[in-house]
Amino acid sequence: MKGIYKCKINNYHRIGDDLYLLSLRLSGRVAVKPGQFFMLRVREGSEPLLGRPLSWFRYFPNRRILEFAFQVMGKGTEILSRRREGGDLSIIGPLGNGFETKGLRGRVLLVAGGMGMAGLWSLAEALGRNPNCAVELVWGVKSKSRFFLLKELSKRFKVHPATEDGSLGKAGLATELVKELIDQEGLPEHIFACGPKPMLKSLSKPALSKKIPGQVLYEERMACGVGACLGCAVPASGGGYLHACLDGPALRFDQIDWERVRC
Amino acid sequence: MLSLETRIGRLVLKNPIILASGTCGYGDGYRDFFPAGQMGAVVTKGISLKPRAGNAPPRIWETAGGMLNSIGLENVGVDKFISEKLPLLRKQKARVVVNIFGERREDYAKLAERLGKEDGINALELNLSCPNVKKGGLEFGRDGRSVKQIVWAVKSRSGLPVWVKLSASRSDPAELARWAEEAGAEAVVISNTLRGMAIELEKKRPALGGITGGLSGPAIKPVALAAVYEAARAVRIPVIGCGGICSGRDALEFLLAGARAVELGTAVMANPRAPLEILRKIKDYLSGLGLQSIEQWIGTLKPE
Ligand SMILES: Cc1cc2nc3c(=O)[nH]c(=O)nc-3n(C[C@H](O)[C@H](O)[C@H](O)COP(=O)(O)OP(=O)(O)OC[C@H]3O[C@@H](n4cnc5c(N)ncnc54)[C@H](O)[C@@H]3O)c2cc1C
Ligand SMILES: Cc1cc2nc3c(=O)[nH]c(=O)nc-3n(C[C@H](O)[C@H](O)[C@H](O)COP(=O)(O)O)c2cc1C
Ligand code: FES
Repeated sequence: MKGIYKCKINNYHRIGDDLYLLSLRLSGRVAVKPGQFFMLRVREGSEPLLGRPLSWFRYFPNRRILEFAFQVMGKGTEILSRRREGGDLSIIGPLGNGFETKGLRGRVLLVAGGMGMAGLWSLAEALGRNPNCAVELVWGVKSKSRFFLLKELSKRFKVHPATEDGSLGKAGLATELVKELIDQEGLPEHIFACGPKPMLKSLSKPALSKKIPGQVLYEERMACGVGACLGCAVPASGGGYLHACLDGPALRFDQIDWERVRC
Repeated sequence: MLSLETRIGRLVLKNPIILASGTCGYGDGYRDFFPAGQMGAVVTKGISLKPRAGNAPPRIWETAGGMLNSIGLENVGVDKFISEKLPLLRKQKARVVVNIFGERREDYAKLAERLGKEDGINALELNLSCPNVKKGGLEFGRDGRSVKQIVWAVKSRSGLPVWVKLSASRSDPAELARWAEEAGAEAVVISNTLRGMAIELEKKRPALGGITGGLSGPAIKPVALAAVYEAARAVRIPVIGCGGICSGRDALEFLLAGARAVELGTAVMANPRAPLEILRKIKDYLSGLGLQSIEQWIGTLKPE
């Protein structure tokens, strides 16, 4: 059930360049699905006004710990990065529709761009427990300092890293690496992707033309996060708009009219 | 015991807190957080004759002390509103105000006729002040004669109480309020969002898909407050204050300036607990003063 949770900040870690892992202690239990998110009230005094949407990262129900991983991008995340252990934080959620994973089997490719890994982490863990799935990850970032928990991830999954500056793994974009992988190893059964819009848009081309079923975690600016303002519009393939916080943020490639997606 | 009841024309609201149009879905957007029935009333998203897809994204842009929106009046249209949304709303046992919007004058009359036949609608709020669409809305809220015609048509076709939503960006909101009163409106709501713009510097492009948008939130509160104060002195019908109200104190200020109720928009989106928190604060404050009724507070601003 959606709710407002008043949490205690349990722990704070810097996990990379401008990257943080925030661990919150909840007052009760939540039922979360990979792909769902929370609105965090990061306010200090009256600014910023709106909540900040973040995907939940890891959840430990027994300890009532919910984690978020985020990158400092602007005012809100900067304030969040300065919060300290023991402080209070209100979060609203879980919100939106998570990934559809029913009946999934075979080779599954997860494609993350930068901080997009935060949105795919919980999915990777869930699919990792599914004996019918072989999970492989492609993770592209600007430079190696933007990877986080890469070692931990690599221990459990086959990870293909890429950096734009060539500092680690393949030099280039995640999408280029995906094309190479498809050429060498054939089409995966399913693609899940999260990252900047240009990455998702470029990934949508092979996904749609080669008819690879797939889903993206679509990020759009939000005011309410609960479906009340119609602000988080996503161009829909049949015309009109879907709403990221209501229909998504997990959406199938073929639900989106990528031509109209502004990057 | 303090009574928070407030009368808006024919309608008695159990308290002065109303959820503003477009910020609570079709009126029940916060059902997971509190029952709409706990509010004085809820106002639906603006409804038009035909469904509208709305503007291209981005539609939301946060600004200093506020936010811009460029939703472009996306809505399901009156047919689907009646068949799908209204039944949900009736279940919430709330006072329901349906906000309507037309591109042409006749649209308002047609909408009034359709909605006037439905159960569970307590009033119609005419959006004559949306800055986010090319045709209609604000255009009609510019001259008194159009306001009068539209109010008259809606009133006679629907039989429902009519509220007129105006913009505080006009130099003389009080004058338009007078036209609305003369035509038989039972309340004026001031204000809608104010037209504004943001630019993405590095990309050298307008931040919003709709280029310009409507500013809401704390940034517009002083503008709305001035307009409410002036309108409340100019008309006898109730004025409902709206714009940047985020705290109990903000609400109390609008009531003091003469508003008989307040609408909350941005504050609720930022914090779904805001309406109940504000309500509690009003209660505590007025009880602390030893008042028996909110009537003893409304419009009691000292002249000098
Ligand atoms: C469903 C969803 C899940 C997300 N999950 C994560 C996550 O797990 N980790 C992470 O680091 N980031 C995530 N993001 C992106 C994150 O919300 C933004 O980076 C953050 O809101 C930026 O806020 P700011 O105040 O620091 O930046 P500013 O640029 O100052 O923010 C200004 C406004 O723009 C909005 N905004 C800016 N960038 C984005 C964006 N990419 N998407 C949506 N709104 C944005 C802000 O919320 C705010 O309203 C997610 C976004 C969405 C929609
Ligand atoms: C996202 C959004 C959508 C809105 N949609 C409508 C609408 O459909 N019709 C209308 O009359 N006003 C609409 N408004 C205006 C609000 O009802 C309200 O007048 C305005 O936001 C000022 O109040 P606030 O500062 O408390 O938000 C909308 C405002 C926002 C922020
Ligand atoms: S953010 Fe308000 S509807 Fe999605």
